[in-house]
Order: sequence, then structure tokens, then C-alpha cells
Amino acid sequence: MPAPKDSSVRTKTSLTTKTSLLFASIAAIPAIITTVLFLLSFGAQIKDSPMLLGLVLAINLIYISLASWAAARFLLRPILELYQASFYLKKGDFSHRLTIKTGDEIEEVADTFNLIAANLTQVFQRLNQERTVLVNQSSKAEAVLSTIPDAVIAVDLNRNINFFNKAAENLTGFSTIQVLGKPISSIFKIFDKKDEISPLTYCPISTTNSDSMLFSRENLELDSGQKQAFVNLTARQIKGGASHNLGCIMTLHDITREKQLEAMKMDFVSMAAHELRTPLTSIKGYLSVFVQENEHKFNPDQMMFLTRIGLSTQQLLNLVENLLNVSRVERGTFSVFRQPIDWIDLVKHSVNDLTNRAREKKITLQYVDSGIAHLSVEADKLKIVEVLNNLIANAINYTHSGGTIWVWVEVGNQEAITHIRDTGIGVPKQALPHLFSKFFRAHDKLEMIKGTGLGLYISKAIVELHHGKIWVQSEQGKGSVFSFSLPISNHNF
Amino acid sequence: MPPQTPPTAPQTPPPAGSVPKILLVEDEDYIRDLYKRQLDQAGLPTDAFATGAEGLNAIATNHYDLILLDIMLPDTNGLQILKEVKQNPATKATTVVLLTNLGQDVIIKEGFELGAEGYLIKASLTPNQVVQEVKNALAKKQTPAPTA
Repeated sequence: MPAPKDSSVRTKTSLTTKTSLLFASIAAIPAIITTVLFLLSFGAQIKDSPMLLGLVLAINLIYISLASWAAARFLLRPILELYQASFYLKKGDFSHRLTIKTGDEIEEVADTFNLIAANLTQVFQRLNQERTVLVNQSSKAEAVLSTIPDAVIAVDLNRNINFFNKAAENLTGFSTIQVLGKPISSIFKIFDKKDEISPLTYCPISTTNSDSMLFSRENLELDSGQKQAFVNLTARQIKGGASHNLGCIMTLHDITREKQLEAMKMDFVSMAAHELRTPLTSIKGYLSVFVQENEHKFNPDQMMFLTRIGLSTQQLLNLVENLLNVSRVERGTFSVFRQPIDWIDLVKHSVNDLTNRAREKKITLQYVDSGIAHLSVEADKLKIVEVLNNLIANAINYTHSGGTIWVWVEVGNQEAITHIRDTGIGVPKQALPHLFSKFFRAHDKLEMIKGTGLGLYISKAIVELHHGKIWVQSEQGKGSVFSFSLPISNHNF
Repeated sequence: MPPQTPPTAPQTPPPAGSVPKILLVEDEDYIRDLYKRQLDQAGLPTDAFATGAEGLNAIATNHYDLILLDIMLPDTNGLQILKEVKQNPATKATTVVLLTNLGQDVIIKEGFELGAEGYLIKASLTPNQVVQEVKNALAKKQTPAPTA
């Protein structure tokens, strides 16, 4: 099938043709009348000369055709020009201008066309400018928000995240794409010391659009599962945000580093502890070398004297450490800085380290494998090892010679629970509720007691700052099981 | 006293099989004397100094295989000295073991970041245990860990 002719050409022809035919038919009438009159006057001569007749007819026809066509073209040209100009507008090209100077209504229409085209050009120019300005402002805002060192998070009225800047990504370990549209409670938890704070508290949104509600608190802990940090959190309800589905906007200032430095700062108790440690370390050191070099010269009685001096020195050292830690817990400057660690590895290590001490008392200390090869928990390594060692050391101290101590780990609901069981003297029932408080000692049997009673208090503080729990099951004369839980980390080793 | 400028000529390590030399920088007199006594007796000749400046002076003039470095020094921060040792190409191969006491986790972490090979908690170890740790550290240096 042949391609359709260019519609413009076809239309042009048909309009011109139509008009031509119209003119032709109008012109034809006087032409025919004239011819008839001519024939009537000179009809006789012409009847005899058919060639003359034919010539007259032919002249008429040619004249009519040419005249009509020319007239049509003359009248229609400006209109067709308008028609062509409409194509430019259709394409969106507003630069084309008509130059029709026919001095009639067509010229006016052409001028209107030009005016419209000029207006449209201006309108589009202005729109482009405004768009450029908006894009610039938007990228400026983005650049600013992504360079702000504080995390900025905005949520909608349902507390689903709808804005999450670069600093927020760094703080939580999640990318913006992962969190958009998700409820804030599924991304991280906020704690004030060991109590969790609900999003309803720290991200205030009320239905009354009155004064915007404000939440501002310092020294909070953020836990996203992937990362932990200490933050100052400020949140404000977005005023007039309801119409845009904007609920609340939060800023989180990361103070982890500052807190670490703060924890190191020497307050009076820290300085006192440091001063006390120094001479104690000397005593311990000199005594140890002296005994080791002269053991063979002493009789058992003399050895007993020296051994007790050594043990007392060690007790003093432990006491100094414990007093320092208790002071920190009381003052609230005791912080734990958690990281993913291999828990099974650590427990095995601790058991290993204390095996000799147990052996000295002829106690069997063993780690019981519960089939878990590796377990990742969020913990402050140095501090949690302290807890573990404290519990195992207690078990050794309170168990008779020949007894047994078992250590094992089980996995609970998103937490790792560690148990230390001994066949020792157990805890009397009336002492159980006070076991984890300061300076409480269940027994007064001096020769067995090596701890100061502070160990469990500090252990409890450490475990709770890890968002875990510590508890005991015990029966006097039968033994005890001390247990504590730690949250499992998402980290894979 | 300002720290000495590093030696101009690169220090050549002693021939293999020779006796390792230890530098001890510790301001507590009794502890310093005790550690030096035990190290000397264990066949590890030790130069002992009480201030950071004297320590740096010694480093500039002698070669040491291992430095036992106290963090709390009267005239400077032990980490500063660690930094200088590790940044000087002539001395950066020297093993540095920090001497600390309890409650200094953040400093220890920073020490490792600056290149310290280890740390010892003075209050937790007997002097003979310290000597053993030094021997372990030196042994590790002789037979470097196989590359991964």
C-alpha cells in the first residue's frame, strides 16, 4: 500500500480545489449567459462554423479555470500560512513568527498567533529558571544535610522513617534505602543507663497541632544491633507537619569518643586508686621474687608467713580495684563500650586461665561443650571477662577440695546465657535476696573468704549495662549455679 | 628537655644470635629497679631510665631490640615516645611493650593503633612473669609469623 500522502499537501490541495471549484461555478454562470447571448446574436454564423463554437467554449473554460484558481490562491495563502504556523506550536517551537500583512482579519489572527507564541516562550523561560533555582536549593540542602556530622532522622505520623542522612547511616550501620518506610523501633533502641526508652517518649508526636513537643536528653545509648553508640538525642515534633505527613525530626549527636575520654579522666577516687596500686605492686613484686629465690631456705612455717603476706597483698589490690569500680558505678561514670566478640572463645580462655588455681585446691574446673562452636555477643571485652573471672573465682573459693565446677553456655531468645555451677557450700536462703548488693557476705568463715563481697555488686552493674541479667540458684550445702545473659550480636565471625 | 633528634645514620641491627638489649622506661623507682634486676639476671641486659627524655636520648644513641614503656611518665606521655619510635625508620622495627595499670583501656587501644606490639598490666603480673612476657615477645620477633 503506498504511503499516505503528506496530509498537509493533500489538505492544501483540497481546500484550494474546493475554493477553485466554488469560484469556477460562480464564474461559470455569467460566462454561460454571455456565451448564449453571443450565440444568439452571432449564432447563425457560428452554427455554420463548429470550430468557432469550439474555440469560444475552450476560451471560456480556460479563462474560468485560471481565474478561479488564481483567485483562490490569492485569498487562501495567508490562511494556509496560519495553518503551517500551527504546526510549529504543536511541536512546541514558539520561536516561529508569522509575517502576514494582508491588512484584514487574517493579519489580526496572525498577530494574535505571534503574541501567543511570544507569551508561551516567556512562560517556559520563567518556569525553567524557577526549576533551576529549586534544583539548586534542593542540592544545597542535600549537601548540607549530608555533611552535618550529627545524624538527622525524620519520621512520619506513624513513626516510619522518611528522612535519613549520611551521618545517620554511619551511626546506625544501616543505609538510607534499608530504613525508609520502616518504623524507627525496628532500626534501633534507645537506653537511658539500663532502661529502654520507647519511641513514643523520645519521638513526640501529638494530634493537637499546638506547641511543638520537645524531647532532649544526654548520655543515652543507641543500639541498632549492628552498632552501639552513646548519643545526645534531641527530637521535636514538626509543626504543621501533619499536612505533609511529617511527624517528628530527631538529631543524634555521637558522644561515644567523648564518653570514652571522660571514663578515663582521673577523678579523686581514680587518682587515689592509682596511688594505692603503686606501693602494692612493689610489695607484691618484691615478695614474689624474694620467695622464689629463697624458697629452699625456709621451713614450712616461715613459708606460711610469706604466703599469707602475699595473699593479703593480693586482696588489697583486688579491694582497690573493686572500690574504684563501685565508686564509678555510684557516680554513673561507669560505662561499657560494647563490640562484637567471640563469646565461646572467651569463656574457654577464662576457664583455662583459672584452671591452675582450681587445681591448687584440687577442684575440677571444666568447660562443658554444648555444641556451639562460635557465638557472637555485643560486649566490652575487658569488663565482661572481669565478671566471668569473678564468678569462677567465687566458685573456686566457696568449694571444698575435691569438688567440681562446670561452665557452659546456652542460647536463649536472642541472648547467650552462661552458667557456672559448683558443688560448694551454697548460699543460705536468707542471704539470697541480698547477694548482689554492696559489701554483703553470706558467710563469715575467714579462712575461706578471699573476696570482699563487692565482686557480685560490680558484676551485676556490668551485666546490666550490657542489657543482660544475672541471677543465682543455690541451696545451702548443695552448691550454686550462677547465670548471666548477654545479647547476641548480628556480627558474623 | 626537648626530645633528641633521631640519629642521622640508619642503625644497623646487631648480628644475628647476639644478646638482645632491652630499654626500660619506668618512673616508679622500686618497680624499675626490680624489673631491671630480673631482666639482667635472665640474660637480657637492660638500660633503665626514669624519664621520657632520658629514654629518647638512649634510643638515639643505642640500638634496642625491645622497649618496655611506662605510659604515665613525669615529663611526657608514653604514647608520645611510642609515636616517635614508630615513626622513625631507624627505630620502628623495635618491639614496644607498654606498661600500664588497670583502667586504661582507651589508652591501650590507642597504643595499639600507634603500633605497640603489646601491653602488660603491672599490678597483675609478678616480675618473673614480666620477664617471661619479654622473652615471648622477643621470640615472636625472631621467628616472624608466616605471611597469610
